[in-house]
Amino acid sequence: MVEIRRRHFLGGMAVGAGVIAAGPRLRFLFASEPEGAGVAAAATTSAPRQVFRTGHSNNCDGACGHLVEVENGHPVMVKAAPWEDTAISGAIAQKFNPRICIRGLSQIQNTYSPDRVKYPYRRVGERGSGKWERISWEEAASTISQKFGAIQDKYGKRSVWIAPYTGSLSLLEGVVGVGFRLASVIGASAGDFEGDNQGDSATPAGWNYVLVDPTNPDNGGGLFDGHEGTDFLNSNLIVLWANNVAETSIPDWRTIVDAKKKGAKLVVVDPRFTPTSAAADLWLPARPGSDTALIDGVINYLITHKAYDEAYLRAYTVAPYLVHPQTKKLLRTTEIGLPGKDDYVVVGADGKPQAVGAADPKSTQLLGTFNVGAMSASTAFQVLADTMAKYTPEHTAALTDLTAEQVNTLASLFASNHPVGIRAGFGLSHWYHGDLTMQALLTLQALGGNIGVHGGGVTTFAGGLTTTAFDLPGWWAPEGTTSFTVLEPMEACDAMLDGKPYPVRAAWFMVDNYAQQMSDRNKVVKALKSLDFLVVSDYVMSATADLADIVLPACTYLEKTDLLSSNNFYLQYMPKIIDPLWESKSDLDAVTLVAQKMGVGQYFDKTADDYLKEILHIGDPEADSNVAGLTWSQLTEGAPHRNTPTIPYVPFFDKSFPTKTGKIEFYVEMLVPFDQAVCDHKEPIEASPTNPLFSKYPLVFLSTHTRFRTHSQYSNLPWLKEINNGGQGFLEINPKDANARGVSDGDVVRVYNDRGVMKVYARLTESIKPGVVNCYQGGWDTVKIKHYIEGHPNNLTHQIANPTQAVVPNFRSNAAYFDCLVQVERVKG
Amino acid sequence: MLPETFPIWATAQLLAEWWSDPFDEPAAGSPLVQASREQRSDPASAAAVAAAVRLGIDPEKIIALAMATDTPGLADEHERLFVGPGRVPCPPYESMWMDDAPPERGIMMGSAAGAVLNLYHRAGLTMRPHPGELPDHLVVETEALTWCLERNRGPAVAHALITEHLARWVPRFCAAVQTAARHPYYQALAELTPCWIDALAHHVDARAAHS
Repeated sequence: MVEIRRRHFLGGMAVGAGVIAAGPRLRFLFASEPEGAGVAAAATTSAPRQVFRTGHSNNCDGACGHLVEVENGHPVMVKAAPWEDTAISGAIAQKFNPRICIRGLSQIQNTYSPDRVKYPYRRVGERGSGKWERISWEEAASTISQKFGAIQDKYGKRSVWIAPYTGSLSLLEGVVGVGFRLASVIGASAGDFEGDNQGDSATPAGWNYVLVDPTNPDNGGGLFDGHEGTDFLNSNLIVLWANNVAETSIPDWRTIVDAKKKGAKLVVVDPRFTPTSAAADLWLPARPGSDTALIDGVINYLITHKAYDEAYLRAYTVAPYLVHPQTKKLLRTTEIGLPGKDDYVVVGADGKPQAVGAADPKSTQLLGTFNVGAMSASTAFQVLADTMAKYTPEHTAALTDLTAEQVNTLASLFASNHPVGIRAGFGLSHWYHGDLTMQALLTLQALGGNIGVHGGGVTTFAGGLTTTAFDLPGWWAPEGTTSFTVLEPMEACDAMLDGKPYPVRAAWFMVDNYAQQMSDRNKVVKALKSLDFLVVSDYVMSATADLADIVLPACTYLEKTDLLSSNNFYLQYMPKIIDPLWESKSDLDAVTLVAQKMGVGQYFDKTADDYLKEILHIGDPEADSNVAGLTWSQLTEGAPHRNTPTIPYVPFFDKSFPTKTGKIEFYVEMLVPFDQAVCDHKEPIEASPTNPLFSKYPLVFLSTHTRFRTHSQYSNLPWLKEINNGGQGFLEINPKDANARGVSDGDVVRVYNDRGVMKVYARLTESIKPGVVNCYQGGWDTVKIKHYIEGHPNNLTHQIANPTQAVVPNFRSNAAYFDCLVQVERVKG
Repeated sequence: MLPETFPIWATAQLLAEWWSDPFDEPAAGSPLVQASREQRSDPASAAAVAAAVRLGIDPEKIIALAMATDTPGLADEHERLFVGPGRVPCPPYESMWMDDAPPERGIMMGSAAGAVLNLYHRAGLTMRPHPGELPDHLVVETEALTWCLERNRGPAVAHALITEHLARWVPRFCAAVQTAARHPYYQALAELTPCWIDALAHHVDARAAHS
């Protein structure tokens, strides 16, 4: 008999009659029938299906409601959930019956994906080498605590950067989540909570220029708001500008379709012919980055045709306000010796300057240049008119690569329809001058009397996170602590590399795939590799997790309690539907563990439900009016609409604007130093034919969304890959550009500029404008899984910041993904 | 020395033990663990060989397996092949192997998982509240099989577990393990397991024929 003495092998041995008599060892199962039941009885049939209502909190402004059916403790079906048709107060709200999309329908596959990270791991090789060692949560939390503490001692408290992002838009976890609470209590710095400047803060900055005074502390450093999606049912003209709602925001697309059925006209501005473009009455493939010029062309048309709302301009905007001819700021009564308290100056019907407070608002002069004392001052509207005068249909057409007829058609649609609702996509924010484009859109809408009215406005997304319904200050900085130091993602990258404004030596990413989704990827990876310590919480091995020192397994939305109120104005309680799989934990639980080790556990000693009650101030008479009267059963038994002043919600319905003047400031005084007081078009910082770089890199590089994933989530799910080119990325290129480069359909091409390279298959298509190429973002470039042949679209993009945005602290830096030039060449062999 | 009546259920349990996760702390109080800690090697190894003989499998395969257990890197290899982080070459879940082009296009918690859960219920078994694994994991299926074989608790279920499930997917899974594995333990185990299951299938058929 061979003596086999092997430790592991022995662990499996039955070693004699006595042991065998003890019976089988059950670790995963337990016997629910009594001992000796003998032959198995008839089937213990599964309990009837349980149904849970939840919100889909992933990084999508659809903010859908899901009904999740559970059988035997496992989710088996996702369906669209119903919505309350009343508000919290009981007021009748609206009928809301949106569709959900294939991403929502694939969530069970996502929760049970073989790509799930099941346990905590520690890196054992070089960063990015893919070598890991499994560790326990105890060890992970202790290590994080010890490392963070040591780094903070050596480099200062702010040298640890906590970076929760938009992977989840829910309250406890993600973009307004528990990571910020941790950052506050340990004195760390933390990424932006909103306006999320990985490409989405340019248009919010522009929104503030015109509608909010960002220097007023009451405005918290900047606001952002929008019309509730269903409000587009009230529009007579809908303009979808630089977005692809039919593929990216299915609930809102339902509204657009319904609005069209009611007779609304649809204009789509996009250099690509997408399913959204296909539904348009007028599709305008304007040159990417020329959007402000097109808007200026429409503004000029409205002014020259006198097709603007005079009464609205007089009542609600700075149109009649005089501008100081030298300083270019709005003129003050004290500057021209008018009596009374200091005020702005307008000109009455009699041609004489008056303080705004003393003037009859119905008869102020809108246009004109007037002698006021020793100077000759124009009204703000006159300055606008003068600046816009060059945007004739022909000049606008030349700038935008459209025809004069197209410009005129668009303009006459604006002139003859009211209300006009504009949905300004993040596609506009992905440009260096996206702030200016938003400023121009708001100017245009002001002319038409379309701000603060049903069916009007300029909306990127609505409701959600910028709501006063949540006591975010209290959630983020518990009693006795100071709120974290804000350090934006782009600024953090520099801080990691240069140590300015202070060194960042450690980071913890949650619901954030910074190393793939942030622009200028080569720079980002270099920055992360330079860190002393990097923690990543994720439910897959993202490109960011690949670089971590410690990876923590996170949960999907089915496995944790949370609340979603994003983009629409409903409160969607998210119950924990199944237990976290394997050893995954919610960010709340993960942060709690680390906090306990760091000695700040007392700030994390409540349940998820308790935090929700606190943040909403349930039962508190001082609760925000939006959620006044909310009961816990109301919250958990349906999806009630918030108590918004109007339903659908319309920002500034009362026409009270939190600006310095109290009016819509399409003349933006604070932008005089940036030569941007009015919305005169500026060429993109990189992707412009006027850029000398253009001769080397003549193609504009877009990296848009696809309907088959949500940023980098769901990218590897089998059924979604099956209908998305097998999960293989490709470059959309017009045949004209392809032929000029000897590129045929299916060839491998190299896409490159001075910042980086990617290789991908070429797909020739007429649906993209010549001079523009597009590679869908969100595919993976990780150690184990690659959806592009080599590299990723963000290898090509940049982090050039627009200093103008600094006037709005919350939206001060922006990644201009689309403002990007590349060259494409065929890879031989 | 050879236990003469080495029970069949214990052979199924060996399979569960050999495939289980080296990272896990075995359940305290298990007599099998107790015995291994006391290093009663002779009866243990003899028992394994006896099991092989009972099932009609070449005992040399057992010896090959045993020889490989002390080669370093076994835990790391288990992690790399079966656990993570992220996607692994040989996910040990039946659902992943039951469609075309497994496991690249396979899905977890597919219909196989529901089917085995129903079988477990028929045998009076339920997943524990925090099981830590999915119902169609190889170790869970073999654990259920062990239960059904012991004291004749569920011969029909045992038969179904083997013929409709384990015998169908485990050979494919083991072929992939043999290709992907670098450690001799998993190469040996992947070669041994299909024979083991085959032998169990014959045994269960023979019992069914006699009952």
